[in-house]
Amino acid sequence: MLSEEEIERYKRQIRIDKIGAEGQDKIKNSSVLIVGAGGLGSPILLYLTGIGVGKIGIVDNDILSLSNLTRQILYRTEDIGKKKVLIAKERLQALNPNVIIEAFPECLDATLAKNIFPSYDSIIDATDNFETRYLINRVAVEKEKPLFIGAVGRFTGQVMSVMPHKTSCYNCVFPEKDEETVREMSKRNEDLGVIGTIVGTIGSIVANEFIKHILNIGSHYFNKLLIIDLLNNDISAISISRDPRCRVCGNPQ
Amino acid sequence: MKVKVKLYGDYLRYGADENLLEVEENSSVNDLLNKLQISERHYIIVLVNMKRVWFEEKLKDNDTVSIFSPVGGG
Repeated sequence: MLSEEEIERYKRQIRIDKIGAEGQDKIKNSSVLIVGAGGLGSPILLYLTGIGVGKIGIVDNDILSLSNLTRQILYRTEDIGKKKVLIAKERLQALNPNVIIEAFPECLDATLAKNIFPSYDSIIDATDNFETRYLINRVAVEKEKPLFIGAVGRFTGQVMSVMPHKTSCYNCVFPEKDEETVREMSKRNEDLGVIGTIVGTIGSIVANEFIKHILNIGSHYFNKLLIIDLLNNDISAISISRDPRCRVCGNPQ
Repeated sequence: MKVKVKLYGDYLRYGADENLLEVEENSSVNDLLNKLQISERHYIIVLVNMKRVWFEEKLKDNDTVSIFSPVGGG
């Protein structure tokens, strides 16, 4: 049930015929774990907290630095040198005290992932490196957790959603290479740079995917890879399918 | 035979976003990438008719080939 305060707070979205008080209740009873509280994590966390998701977990081990402020809109110049998740928790709690915010100031490894993924309905991948992306995908598939993935580089962003064992997983589309190549890919991506606006665009779309999933409304990027190129204003959703030989969700021979 | 080639993101510098290309019978994905002068083989993802394929995959008349690479930043 929604309190009077909640009905007033959320009235502009409750008015949407596809949401209503019943939908708001579903949002309130949902939970999501967001891995990465940086560029993508900022808009995702702000919107999902504002919208009123019941419980939000945040995993990130980073300390805020000056060059983060072009796009990590949760933070301010005075926060430099502080742990991102701790500032994030404080800001989000101030934005919406109804939401339970759980902060994990740690680097995500397999043990942590296996421990905490089961406590959330869904997982959002908002990380900045391929090593962690493959790890999140592996554990989300193993624990049967719907996974919503955002990724950015330069003016380009990609989104895909994964329903484990039902739709294409991250590894079906981008099969994991050897360790050195994966490290190189992360390094190369960092070297490419990134513009703040694409991070906001992709973060909003990922947050929206999760909300539609919880409400069971609209269409989704399951079995689809969305590629947005804000330099050339090209937006394409490519159909993809499961790889039966996928080492993560298929039956490798 | 003809194949439709769709380029995304970084690969738009190798041609138009959508192009009908004449390739020799029995050409592979690798042959097509060479024809497009794309030498990168580490990060590239190629889909034929929306299915992920490897470089040795043979192309058929009227195939649609999509070429892109992952971004990983957050």
